[in-house]
Amino acid sequence: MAKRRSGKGRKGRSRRATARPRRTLLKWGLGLGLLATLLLGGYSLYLAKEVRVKFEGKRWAVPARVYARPLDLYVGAAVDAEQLATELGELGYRKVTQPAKVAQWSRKGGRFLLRTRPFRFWDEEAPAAYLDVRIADGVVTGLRDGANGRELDLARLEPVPIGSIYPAHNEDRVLVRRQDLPDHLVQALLAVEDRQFFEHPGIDLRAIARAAWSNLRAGHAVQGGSTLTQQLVKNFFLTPERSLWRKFNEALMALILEARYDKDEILEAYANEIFLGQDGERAIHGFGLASYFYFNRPLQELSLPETALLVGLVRGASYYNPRRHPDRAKARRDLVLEQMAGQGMLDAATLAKAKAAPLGVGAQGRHSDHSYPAFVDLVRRQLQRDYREEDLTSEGLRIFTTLDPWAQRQAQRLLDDQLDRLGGKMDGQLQGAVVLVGAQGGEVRALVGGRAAGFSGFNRALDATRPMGSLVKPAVYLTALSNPARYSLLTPLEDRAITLKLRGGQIWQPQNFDHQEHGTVPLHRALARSYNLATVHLGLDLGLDKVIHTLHALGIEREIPPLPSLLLGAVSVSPVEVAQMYQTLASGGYRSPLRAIREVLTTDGQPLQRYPLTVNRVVEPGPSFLLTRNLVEVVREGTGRGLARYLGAEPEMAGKTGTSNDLRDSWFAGFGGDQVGVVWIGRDDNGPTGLTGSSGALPVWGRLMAKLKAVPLSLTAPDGVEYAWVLPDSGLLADERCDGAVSFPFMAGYAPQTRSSCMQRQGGVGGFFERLFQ
Amino acid sequence: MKLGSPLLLFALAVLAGGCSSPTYRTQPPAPVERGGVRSEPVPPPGSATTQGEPTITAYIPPTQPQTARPAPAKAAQVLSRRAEDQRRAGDLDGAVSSLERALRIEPRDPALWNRLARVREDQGRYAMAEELAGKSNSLAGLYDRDIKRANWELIARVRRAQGKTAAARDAELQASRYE
Repeated sequence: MAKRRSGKGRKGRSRRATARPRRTLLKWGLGLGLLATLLLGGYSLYLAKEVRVKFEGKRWAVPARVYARPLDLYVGAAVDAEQLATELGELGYRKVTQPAKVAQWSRKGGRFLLRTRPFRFWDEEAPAAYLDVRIADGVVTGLRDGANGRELDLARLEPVPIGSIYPAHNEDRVLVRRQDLPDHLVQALLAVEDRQFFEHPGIDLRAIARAAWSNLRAGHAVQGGSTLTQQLVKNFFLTPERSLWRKFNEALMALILEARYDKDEILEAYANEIFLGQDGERAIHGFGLASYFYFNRPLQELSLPETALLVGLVRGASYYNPRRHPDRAKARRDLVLEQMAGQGMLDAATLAKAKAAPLGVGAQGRHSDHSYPAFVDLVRRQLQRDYREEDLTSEGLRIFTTLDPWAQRQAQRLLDDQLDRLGGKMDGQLQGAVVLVGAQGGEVRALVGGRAAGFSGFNRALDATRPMGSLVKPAVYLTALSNPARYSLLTPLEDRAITLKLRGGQIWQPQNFDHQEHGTVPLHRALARSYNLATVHLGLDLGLDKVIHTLHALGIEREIPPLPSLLLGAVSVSPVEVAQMYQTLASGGYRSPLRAIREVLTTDGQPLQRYPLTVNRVVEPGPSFLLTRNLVEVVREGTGRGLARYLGAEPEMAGKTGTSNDLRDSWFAGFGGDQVGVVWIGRDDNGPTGLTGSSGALPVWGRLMAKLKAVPLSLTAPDGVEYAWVLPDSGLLADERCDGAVSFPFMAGYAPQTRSSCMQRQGGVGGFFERLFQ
Repeated sequence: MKLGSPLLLFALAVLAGGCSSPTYRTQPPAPVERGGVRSEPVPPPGSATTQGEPTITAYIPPTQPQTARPAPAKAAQVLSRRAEDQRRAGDLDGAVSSLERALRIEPRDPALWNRLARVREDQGRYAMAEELAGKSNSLAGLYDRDIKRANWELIARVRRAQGKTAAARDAELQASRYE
């Protein structure tokens, strides 16, 4: 219809002819405009929904944060001065001459003054404290309130964060709230990134014009005109592609964001979202985490120049990486400071002082997973039994673990040293693992999964399953001692050659390490000297099923095929399984499932779950005691006597060496009064190492126990155990006056009854009373 | 010769009465025995022996545990008292936390294990309580008769609470040995 009309008009009145198309155009324009508006409106609504969902929904997946154990300080605590200094360093506390602020400390010899941060523990909200700690010879000798000199019974430091469990896309962050953002951080951000932030509606036309002008003059892009809001949108919602369409989207979403939310909400989101660095595969997002990553301290504790450095990174975290390019980073930081001064935020003196400050970036930040990867791996595995992956990686859970960072460092260092020392002949192929566990409760204090250098994620402490060699023997002897009617520590065993025909026709001819037979030997000596032939005879006598039953009771959970070779340790287990087995022995037969976690808290500090201390009696206390005394003999006089070099003569420690066939695996497992240690050394390709348990693993164990000042065993004979004087060679009952008599523990009622002739010569009341004191 | 018999235990207790040192304090130090071949004989101090000195073995605990810490830490006692306050106030979870913390400081103190067993009993976690009381018993020395009695009484109570009457009676009998 319009067509016809216009045709008519062209021929007719020219005035109307010009007006008509104009009106038509207007109509068209209006129509199209309306359509565009509708489309734009619809699109905006769609974007608005998108923005709302993302902004108000779960904006950030906050990884679970993993903490070490908190260090308890009290008079009598075994804490080395070096240990305390290291712990404070790991907490990011600053060493000063006189601590005036929170998270500062000083040291004069063995005296420490320190101001702790407040901390939400699982069982209390601990306020900041000022502590005066004195340490002498590795023991806390004084603990006072630094303000008033009052004696304190107990104090604890906040636990060191040792890692986080972040999701598959490897984003890590520590959330900060708007009110936690320091003023100078906000000022610096505004100064360099968005001067009109508090005025503009989301986009800043003046800034765009200014940037365009600068870029035109320079001939290339030197300045961006994006507001913080636009930057947030870019980080938050969009892909990194560069196009006009994306620019348009960015601007539109910025306007929407500003319309819906106030400036503080946007600023908070920005502060948590902005990308500020890369740590291997882990992306560092937000100022909260960046502060820990670069300075090992919370954001609120950063100085002005440190804050300026972080703000400088917004423009290019990799280009200005202060660890890799300190000069660039310093120039960028100083530029930020100058812009602040230029806008009157700093006076000249403050500027000069800030510019003179060093970068202050630490070598390695905490909140990194690099320090204790094997232990954090164990924590992750234990958590995965109880939590869904997405809860661990997004809910901001706080995981309190059992790790003792000091023990962990020592274990790692001593293993590395030993591997280097032995490494000459193996050109770097030697590997190892260490597990350190609390004897009475099964808490894992340290876990070393291999050499520190080049740790690739193969966690040998958990995943290297190797023949345990003679480490299995205590299970054989415990099985025997649990049957007191037949066996005592003095029972004679036959250490003679044996040939077994196995199912399938194979012949098995075990040998002693020295290829000798030792004839008839008392049971305790067979274990102390780790005689293979005597052990095989004993084990076959007991029955393989009985020995396997004992191994299961002690905590070896995997299936064990009933082959005679198991008696000599042809049972492949991981170091952590060995640690469980020896923990049961160390606690007198009370097994505690190994734990790496104590408590789990929600992000706002509400207790979610505890992993309680539990014990489970799996071995009778009496036989367990006899075996432990026998394992002390191993250390003092048997295959473990090399420990005297590290622990002094006659250490009150129990342990066992282990060596697998062809010297492939070198083991040592043992315990004192408070901890159980397992050391394994071998090769990933399972090749021969030329090492025995005592030449490879034992020195690491000995040095570690010495360094940690391990508490010796202080065994009390449980009910049902008695001591008797005997003649060790004949096994006859004697008394202390008899030449060569020794005092041995027996299950009550099972001491030898046959009296030696020397007793008949003496007797009388005197002897009776003398014996009472034994 | 059976030191385990009640009469001798009693005699021992009487003889050592007033002596605060642990059972083996009077033992000679540093037992030495190497593969049946006697090394330098060490005459035990205070021994009436004049000739044919006995060789001393690895099986006699040393004179005194060489502990890295002086005496039981007061901190553990403080935590134990805190736990008792928490228990009385009905904060059983808090009491468990405090006692576990105390046990990290003094893991071999039978009294602390007994306290933890007590809190678990209050929580109705009877199996756990019985195990903890047993653990306390295993660490209790010859003179910790009160603790042993308390543990057996607790075991009797939790067994009875679970309807295990005969087993409870056994435990009561054990408890009566330490009265």
